[in-house]
Amino acid sequence: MLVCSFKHEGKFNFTYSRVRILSDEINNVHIPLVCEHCGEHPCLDACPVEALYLDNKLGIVKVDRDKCIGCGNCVKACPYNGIFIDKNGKAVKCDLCDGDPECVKVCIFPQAMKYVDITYENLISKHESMISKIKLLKGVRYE
Amino acid sequence: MSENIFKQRALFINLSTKEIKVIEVPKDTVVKYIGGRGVNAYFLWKLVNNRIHPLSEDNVLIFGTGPFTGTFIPTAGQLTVTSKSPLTQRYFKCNAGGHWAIELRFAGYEYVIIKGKADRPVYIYIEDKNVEIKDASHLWGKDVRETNKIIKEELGDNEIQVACIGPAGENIVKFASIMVSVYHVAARGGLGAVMGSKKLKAIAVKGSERDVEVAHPELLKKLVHEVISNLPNNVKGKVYYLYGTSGSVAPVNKLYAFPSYNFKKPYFEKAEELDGVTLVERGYIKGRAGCTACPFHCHKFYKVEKGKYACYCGGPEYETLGALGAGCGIGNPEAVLKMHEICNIYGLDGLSAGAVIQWTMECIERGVLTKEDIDGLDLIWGNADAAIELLMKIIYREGFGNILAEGLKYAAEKVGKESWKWAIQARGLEQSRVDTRSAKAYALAFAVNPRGPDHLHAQPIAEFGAWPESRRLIKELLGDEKYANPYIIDKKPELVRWHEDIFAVTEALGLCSFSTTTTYILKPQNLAEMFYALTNVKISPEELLLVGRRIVTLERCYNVREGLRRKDDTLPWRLMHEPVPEGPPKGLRNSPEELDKMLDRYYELHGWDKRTGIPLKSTLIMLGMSDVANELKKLKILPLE
Repeated sequence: MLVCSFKHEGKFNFTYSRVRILSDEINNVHIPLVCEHCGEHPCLDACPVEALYLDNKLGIVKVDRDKCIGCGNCVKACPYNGIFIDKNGKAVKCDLCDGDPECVKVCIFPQAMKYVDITYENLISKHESMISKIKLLKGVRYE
Repeated sequence: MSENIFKQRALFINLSTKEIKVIEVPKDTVVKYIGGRGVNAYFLWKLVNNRIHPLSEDNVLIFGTGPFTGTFIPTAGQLTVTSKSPLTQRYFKCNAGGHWAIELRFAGYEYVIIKGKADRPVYIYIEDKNVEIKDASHLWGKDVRETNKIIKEELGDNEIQVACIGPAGENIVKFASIMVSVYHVAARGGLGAVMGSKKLKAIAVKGSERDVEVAHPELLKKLVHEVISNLPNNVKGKVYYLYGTSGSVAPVNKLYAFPSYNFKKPYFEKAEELDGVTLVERGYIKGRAGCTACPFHCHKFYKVEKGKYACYCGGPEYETLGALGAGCGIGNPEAVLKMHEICNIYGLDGLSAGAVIQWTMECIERGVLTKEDIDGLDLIWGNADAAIELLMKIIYREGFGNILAEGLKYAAEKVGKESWKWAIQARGLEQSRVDTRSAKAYALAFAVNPRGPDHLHAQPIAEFGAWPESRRLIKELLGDEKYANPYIIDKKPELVRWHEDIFAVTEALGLCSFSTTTTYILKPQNLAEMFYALTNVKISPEELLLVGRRIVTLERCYNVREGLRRKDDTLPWRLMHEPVPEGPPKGLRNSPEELDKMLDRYYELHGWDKRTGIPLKSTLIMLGMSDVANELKKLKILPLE
């Protein structure tokens, strides 16, 4: 979260981070919330002003912050809680640091994050992690 | 984007008058003490003099963060809590991890200072500019987990961070802790009792108002990446990551420095059972519950799935395994984990709790106390069930627990019959789990520690020379690796003073001491470079260490004002007079003569009066502390030169 804020804004504040962590501290469950770069991109469909667009270089959805009006429709549309409104009222989401993600670099010991090529095996394991995350999310939310 | 380090803000809350105000910390104070532990100590020096009782409404409780807090500099998530301790009656600081400190800084404050006493239970909620004193009568009596759950639910926000006390703090147990981010802890010295005396159940905080700005972002990024790219090679860091501090149990035991049976023995025959490796292999350790910005995550999360000791909690740590386990002769890991859980969720310092229980066990063994004296408990060595019952009695101050709740020093005075000889405490604080008889740098560090004999003032672990990093440090500092020998006293004062300086400045910056000591991943040079990258203020590594020295000296002056003198710089009686009975260090002890030799040199290095242990005026002037010198002069306690 910290390095993400730093990379994108040059300063530190959790609200600038494109990745958040949903925690149940009592039971020590921590779930990273970040754009899964899914194929359906419901966020893009939900945007009323076309502030979200598909970037062809990495094939991911990006935010045009000049166009964004901060309505939060994308936040509601995302099933993974992977897009946020920052403290300036604009949508922020993971852009994979244009192919060189900073978060991966600071995850030294656990190496919980990897930036890998698209292969069949990698897609399967990513799909599995998305399913288990949705399950965890249902268990933690206070709503 | 400039020297924003000098714009530090303290939130001052008086619970008696309900006054809430924001104070700008004077630039001069920041220049001298930087932040965190340093500025906290200065606040305490100014606000709480020697006539103020720790549990009175005039005592203050200070929560402080540092200039590194909020950044991604490794381990920059630490909180320092400072107050006058009801256990030692002197200066006390505790350092806690978790995620509370960073939220406070993002909310726009570096410090929270609590004064006064509420007339009924309250908690404080800080969300950026919105600061409220809220009713906590429904939280009073609740344990730490319940308190966290209720606060987060009623404020409707899962991301709120909570620092709170449990029933032990409410009942003013003199070694009650403050629990931060559920399982992290400002454990020692009874700061939880200070919070309880103020009828303050919790401080909940959430922040997004403040951005922590960086003067030279590219430089900071480069410096941090340089440090973390070296981490996988760090031996101790890897142990922290895999096993936490509990990974030290078996290695320290092999050195015959792991005290068991109330320090009667330096070795515990069942230590392997309590070691981190065993806890991981048997599946008790379920994951990590680390602190903000930390690459190691030494704090684990454990669970005992079934049986009468079923439990779950953050931890355990080397110290608590030593105090609640080995010290009491308890080798069943499940029982020790259960005791550790009880300490954490009821808000009790496990180290002191273990110390009073094992002292009681020895009193029973020696016939100084009978079963009837301690409410019929069968408190023989290794009886975990009786120990658990006694723990609960301490927390709720029932029967004999009410005496133990006052701390070991008081209990030994109360019971009498020479029981002080096996009360392993000095200056009112129960000693942590290092047999200082076979670790001479630790012995000196414990003897001069302003808190009491424990490991969180200076951590001169390099003296064991157990890792390449520590041997390198010994060579750099002392000129030869031969000084990496825990049994000799040569150069130990030099080693201790360096560790004091770096430890203090580390906590002033808002970092964890595991970064600059024990793992030795951050050197003074790294700190100075990062400080410049972050704040645009140039400072040399030597100047940073001098800030550490200034903090240590101020803490000393605080205690001197409270009456502390050289004669108080001692260790528990047993360690000074009874030699180690077995193993390689057999025959060693911390004799008064040996300690005196080290103290002489130590005071000389510090520029303190050798006879009294009071800092000399010239030393205070050299450190730019003339205001402190004037105060001591006014009280007529400054030594003549």
